[in-house]
Amino acid sequence: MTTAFENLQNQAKRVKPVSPSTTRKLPEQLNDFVRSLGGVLVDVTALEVNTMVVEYISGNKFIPWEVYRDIYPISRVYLEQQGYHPTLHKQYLDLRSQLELQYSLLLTDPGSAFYDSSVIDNIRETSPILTDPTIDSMDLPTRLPDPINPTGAEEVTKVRHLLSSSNFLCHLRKMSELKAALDSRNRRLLRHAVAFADDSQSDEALQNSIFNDIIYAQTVIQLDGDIVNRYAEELFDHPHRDAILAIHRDSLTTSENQWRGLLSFIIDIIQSTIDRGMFRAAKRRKMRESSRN
Amino acid sequence: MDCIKLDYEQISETQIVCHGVSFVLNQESLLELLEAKENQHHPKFTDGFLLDWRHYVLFQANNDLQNGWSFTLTYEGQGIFRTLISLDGDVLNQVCSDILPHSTLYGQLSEIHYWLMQQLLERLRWPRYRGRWVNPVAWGVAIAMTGCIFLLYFRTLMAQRLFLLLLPVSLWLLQRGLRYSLKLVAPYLQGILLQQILSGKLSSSPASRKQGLTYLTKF
Repeated sequence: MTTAFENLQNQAKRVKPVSPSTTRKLPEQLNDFVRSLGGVLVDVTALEVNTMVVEYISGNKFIPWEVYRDIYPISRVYLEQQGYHPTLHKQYLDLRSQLELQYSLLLTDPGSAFYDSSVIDNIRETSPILTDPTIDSMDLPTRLPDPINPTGAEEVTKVRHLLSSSNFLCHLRKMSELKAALDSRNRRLLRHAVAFADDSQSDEALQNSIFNDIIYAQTVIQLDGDIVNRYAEELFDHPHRDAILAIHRDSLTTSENQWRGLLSFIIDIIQSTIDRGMFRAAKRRKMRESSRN
Repeated sequence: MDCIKLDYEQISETQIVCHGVSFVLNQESLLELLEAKENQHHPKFTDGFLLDWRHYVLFQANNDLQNGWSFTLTYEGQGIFRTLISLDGDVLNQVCSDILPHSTLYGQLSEIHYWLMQQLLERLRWPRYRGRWVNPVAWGVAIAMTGCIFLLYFRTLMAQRLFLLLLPVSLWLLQRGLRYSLKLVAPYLQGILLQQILSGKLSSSPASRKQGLTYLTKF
């Protein structure tokens, strides 16, 4: 497993160290592309493949502002007020904490456009979410820009700026899927609770609320070649356990290849723009392939 | 390939967003695809589709680099599989619970889902640089230049008709020289074109970026 993954990492690293003189000559937008790609790839330490069983496949839509706006207000009070099922409160709050954590990481990353040296100077007080593993982020004031009641145009710009960060968007996209799954579970659990009150619940409804919208299997392929598999407890009681495991196995074999294909296409395009020619990039790819073999 | 579509949504008068790739199958198309896979036939994609596909892989709506790709398989109107690949290496596979009891069908559908993704990936890169355009351009310019020389030195050439024999030789030499120079310059021109698509004059809107990608494909 080390070969292809490590090669891609090396390929990504080669894009990042553009010499300062070259960087200055590049147009600003291209420089932004290189920076954002580098920012994402420098954090890639593993390939993570998750397999989830859902009640309903919702389609492809991902609108960052909408997702951010929906996760931002989550708090204990909000969940109570909106009538979310109590058994899912912790998972919703975890999702909101993830959002806060990702933003704090951007604020303390010297390579990011959001870097704020005042935060890192006094990290224990300004961003305890990064230093204290026992802290509950819900007890802390948020650092995230408010998309619902912004204090002014500057705050709206801050949100827009945040939602243009590739690094942040990658996490937000995953959060969007997890929230959609939680919402689906929430709807079912609430329906089930009503049906239970009427004493008219069906076995099927009960099974659906237990078994759907859960990540059943997760495999993490680390950069050093270590592979970690995790399975949800519910998998062992699932009536179609073997099918889920087979789907996960199938996706594992193809996922790495697909991710590598998409990513190396982008890396090659950007690299050849910097080099002024796809010919050189193709030549380099050939050299890489021959050295790999 | 009719069953592969890009999901577009018009979010404003001027802006259209692509949300991902959809594989829309029914019983008939599933059987056809299984047969094609078995016989190692590769699906054919139109140039227009490949252009949109490359554009989707590279860019998201607001002119930023794409950070995640979505592939959804629908069978007889129902969403069955969805694969979400994130730029940072997270892959999320979703499977609809309704398909799990039908082991043969989900096996076939997942086989086709991953095969179609693979086919799209294989068509992502531009065909290897062939420089087909170099030869005709070199001939065209060489003929034009030789014509100019002929017209400029018409009287001399008519007086010393032996010099006329030099014309085909100079035409051939010019063509060879131009061809060599164009081949040297072509990769740089490609790079400049790419730069214009990513951050130059061709990057102002999805339509102009697609125009740039069309030039690149023809190049």
